[in-house]
Amino acid sequence: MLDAIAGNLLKDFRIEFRRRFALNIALSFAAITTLAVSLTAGGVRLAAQTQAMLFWIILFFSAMNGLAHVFTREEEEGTALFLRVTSPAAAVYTAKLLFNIAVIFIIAAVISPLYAFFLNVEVASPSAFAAATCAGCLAIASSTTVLAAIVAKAGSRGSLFTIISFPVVLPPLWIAIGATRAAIAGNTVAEGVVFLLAFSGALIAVSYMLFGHIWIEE
Amino acid sequence: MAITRLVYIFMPAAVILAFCYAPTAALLGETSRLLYFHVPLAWVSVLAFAVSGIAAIVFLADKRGRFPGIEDSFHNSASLGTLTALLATASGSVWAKLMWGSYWNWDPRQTSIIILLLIYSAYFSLRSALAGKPARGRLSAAYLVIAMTVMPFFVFVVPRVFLSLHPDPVINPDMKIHLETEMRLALIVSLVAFSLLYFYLLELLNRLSRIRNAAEVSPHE
Amino acid sequence: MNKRLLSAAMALVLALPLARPAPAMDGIAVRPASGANETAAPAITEKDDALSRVMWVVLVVWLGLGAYLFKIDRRIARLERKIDER
Repeated sequence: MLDAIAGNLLKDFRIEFRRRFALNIALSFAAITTLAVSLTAGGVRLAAQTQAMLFWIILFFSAMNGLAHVFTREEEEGTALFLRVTSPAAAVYTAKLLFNIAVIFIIAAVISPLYAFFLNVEVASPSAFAAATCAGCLAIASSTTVLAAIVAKAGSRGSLFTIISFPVVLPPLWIAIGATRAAIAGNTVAEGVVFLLAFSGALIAVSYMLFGHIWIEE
Repeated sequence: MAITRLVYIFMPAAVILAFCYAPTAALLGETSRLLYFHVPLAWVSVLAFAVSGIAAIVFLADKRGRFPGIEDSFHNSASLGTLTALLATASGSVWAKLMWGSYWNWDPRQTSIIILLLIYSAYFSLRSALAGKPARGRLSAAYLVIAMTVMPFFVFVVPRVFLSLHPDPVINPDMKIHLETEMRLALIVSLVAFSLLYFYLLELLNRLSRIRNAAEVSPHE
Repeated sequence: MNKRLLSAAMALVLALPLARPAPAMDGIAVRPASGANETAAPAITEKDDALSRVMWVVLVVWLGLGAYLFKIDRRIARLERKIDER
């Protein structure tokens, strides 16, 4: 089981390093939107609420481009069938989940300094900001991985993924925006982080139960 | 399921009770009569969501096919839920216009029903994208189960985000209704009537799906 | 199926604007009633009149809907018998 997970994960990373499709698209998208916001803001200092909101909207939409890719790639290239045969469903899900978490963390790690740099954000407590961002990214990745598997079966339509994941991602997005605003203002974020972790835990548990039904074909 | 036929008695009773028997609420005036239609509709939309979620779980857990019609039944329940959620939103916003002065003002309950509608619209988009695929039932059931898992978190999130934005007096006429006995009776009758109507419609739709499936199996009919 | 859903929706939506005249009338009727009792009597009969009219409209809409549902129920039962026979 652990071998299967490690093997799948390694394979995903290798393909990603060879192509750099998901990350390239997501990072360019993130850079473009950040620049666009910065340009249109015209150097005005935005309020903490607006900054938190824009940060998460940029993060959410740029991540959406990359996160669905793990499963749609398998279906597009016809490798899903072999994956179904060679590894157990739980291993596939775990590997994809870990890969997605890594992808969104990389995106966040690139966006946060970029955003702070271009939009003049002065974060009062950087550690709280990092905690809120990590917890939010974890929640987004864990709730969208299983949806990506569903979308891949539907024929990899890009906007469908955003549509069906939006209502699911809405609560962590809300809480993450609140926590980020608190972090920028220098307040405590513990409650929001706990909520985000609880949300990720619940979604991962449900995803494990559902993934067999989604992944296996009769 | 003959008990759902009671809707033919309960519904006129609910209408008559709502207009003749129930007194008008203080502060709300005659608009309070909208209560007996708006609250049951909202209740039914939540009920339909719960029923379709549970039916989806049963459908996924049911490996040996003990419940043959359940695949259609969660879909039917979801479409009835969409209809009632839309009607509840419409009646609610008419009421909000009369009481609070605008059709839409991000009250916590309005927020939760718009989220319910978002989930339904996502569900139907997914459903139409999967048209003709054999895995359609399983995938849409899985999505409904995920959406149902998320729902409790909204209960935690929504009041926190929006009570702070709203000045208290805006919500008070809605939150602090003291229901008198007569009003409560009318409301309960109306709730029962609308729930019966929902179950009756669901049963009709399920029977219709069964007939359609049977007709598709043998096209010479 | 769609036709029935549509007509049910139409009927209920049509009933909503019809329910609005009652509160509008109430706004004129109740306020003076609380201030002075002698002006209240004609206003209240007028209000009750409007209220019962609204009730009848809603009742008629429901009766139409109910009859329609009943007809559909019968038709589905007939189709079910036909399918079970085969």
